Amino acid sequence: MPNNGNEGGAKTSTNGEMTQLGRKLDNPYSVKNMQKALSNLQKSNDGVSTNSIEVTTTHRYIKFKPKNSKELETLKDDRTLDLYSYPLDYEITEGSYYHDPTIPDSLPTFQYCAVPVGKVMPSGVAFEVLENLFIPDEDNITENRTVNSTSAAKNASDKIATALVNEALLITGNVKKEQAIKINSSGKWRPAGRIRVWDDVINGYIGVEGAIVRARRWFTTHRGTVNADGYYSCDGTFRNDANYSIDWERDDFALQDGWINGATYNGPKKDGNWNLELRGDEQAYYATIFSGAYFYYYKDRMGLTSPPENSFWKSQLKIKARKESGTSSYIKARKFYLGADISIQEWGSRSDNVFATTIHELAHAAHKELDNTAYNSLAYKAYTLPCVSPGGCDSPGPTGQSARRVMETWATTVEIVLTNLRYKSYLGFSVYSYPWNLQSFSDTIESQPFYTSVGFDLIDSFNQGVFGSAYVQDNVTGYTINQVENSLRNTNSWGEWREHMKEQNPSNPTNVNIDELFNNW
Amino acid sequence: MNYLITGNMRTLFFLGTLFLLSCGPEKGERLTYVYTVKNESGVPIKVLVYNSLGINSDKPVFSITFENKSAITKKYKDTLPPRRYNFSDFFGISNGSFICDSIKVIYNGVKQSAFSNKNCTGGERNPLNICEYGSVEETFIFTKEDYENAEDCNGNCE
Repeated sequence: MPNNGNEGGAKTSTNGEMTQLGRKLDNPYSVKNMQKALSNLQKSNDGVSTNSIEVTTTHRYIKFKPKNSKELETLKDDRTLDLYSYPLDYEITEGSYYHDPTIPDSLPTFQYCAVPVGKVMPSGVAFEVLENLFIPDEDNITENRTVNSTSAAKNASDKIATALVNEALLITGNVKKEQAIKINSSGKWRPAGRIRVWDDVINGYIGVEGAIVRARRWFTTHRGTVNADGYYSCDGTFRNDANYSIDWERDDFALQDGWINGATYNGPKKDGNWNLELRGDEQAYYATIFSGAYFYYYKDRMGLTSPPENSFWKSQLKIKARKESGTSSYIKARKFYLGADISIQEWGSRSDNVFATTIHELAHAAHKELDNTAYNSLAYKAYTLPCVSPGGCDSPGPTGQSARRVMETWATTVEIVLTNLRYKSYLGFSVYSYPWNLQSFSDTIESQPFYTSVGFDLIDSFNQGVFGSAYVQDNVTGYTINQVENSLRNTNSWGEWREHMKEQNPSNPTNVNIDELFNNW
Repeated sequence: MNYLITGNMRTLFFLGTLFLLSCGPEKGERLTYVYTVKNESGVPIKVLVYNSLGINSDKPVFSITFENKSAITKKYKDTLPPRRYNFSDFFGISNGSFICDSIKVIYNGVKQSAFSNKNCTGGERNPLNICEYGSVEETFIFTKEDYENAEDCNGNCE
């Protein structure tokens, strides 16, 4: 359990406010200021030998100007870039995001970072070099500028780099003289802490597993990944305070706030641990949606097909976390004009509901991965055709109903199974039962034609028919979720799904009752 | 015959394509649920709301008070995917997203009844029984008989 001995109290977040830029800072890492600092050190003759150090440009401070979400994606695909949405030479306040006021909300904001000299820039994205930088590599500067891995050399390089950086901080007004003396004598600290989110089911806080915390000191960033208990520890150390932040994204998916900005939390500037307890606000909402996506992508999903993974052929899946209670959706093509494949509208809903809806929409995306042709055929019949017919989107004909029932029943099945798995197995609540498992409803084709219990009924061992004749007669059991998923291949209708289930699983003794189950709808 | 697409047609074509592309899961009707609880028991009622799964599950998450002859109605517009609504939600959701899976009804501080939403038990006198109460519009009335049938707690109900 990481602990710097500076645990501090857990903090709640700011509530959806934009990060504000404060005073512009004189950049201590500019070549000009570093040369001045070096000159001062050479004059002061305080025991640090700097005669052989040469200040030249090692990095460039870059402002990228992506014109659209595609260009932003190009930047994000370069994993060597530590991108920030705000300029790195300004004081900032805590907040949820930053969007340059000169850029319309519908377009991506500028992205800032430092890159080593010689770095090949991502193609097709305009950029501007804001400053040439000298960032001393603390581990590799020795008094004769050679790379040396001995302990004595490491200490010497550390001392030179620290002295140089401190002098640069001092002459640029970023620290006062007494602070500089203190920093010279103080040791390094490792950014660490605990990030948790409130869960309504557990009635307590749980770790936001998989979230990546960044700690930035000027142009250097260290990262730490949050574990299941909420703890993280970054992969590097600092001497001075650093800006903490979280981007709600992983390689394969990213959350967005209202428009096309990545959902982020710009935390405090401090030294010592950063602990965060999120509850009832926008960041808690992001954390819960993130947990759902992280679970589907990276935890044991019982062998189910993954939602689309980020690769040369496929881009990172975008999930828009909308602060509305309404209709969540997965529409692949929406990415071309609004920027997100998935839209989640569960603002104000209980935690397991937000988690489950994220799983549900990702299950649609994974269904498309499983069988692109069949999925597109189903979506066309279920949604596209009815929406251009006189009855409208809400009144599909028999073919549309059949296709829509397949799609929504499958997504509902995954939602039930993975949400139960998460709470029962991963969070240890063995008595948890997903409340929308559809086992207590007397649904019919009239009252609920699409979101049916059939997929889960194939797996579970409970027959809700015991509640009465108005309930679904479920005399099947013992199928695995993988068998149910496999039966979706080449499935273009409710009837085909039923037949595939029967054909592919002849050894299941309840196979003979599949007709009865499907015929409830 | 001229097959060129003119400016307006191009716009129409573009908008039409966008409309078609915007169709996908989940589209459909979102139901609005209307649930009412009335107190006709003859005495004031306090409903203690519990989440039996959570930490400190023996302590109520919060409480709701019904004066005698009072009623509370709540409306809920469902989301998609549908989550529906029942009296567990009626009692459970309050200034946030708390969860209710059981309640204790305290009559005038001297008598009590306990109910759970598990397994459709308790018949029609259990408001949390979703086999009884799960329609779009429901009303539950705490009656004089409910008060009489409740067990004595001798002022030790909480």
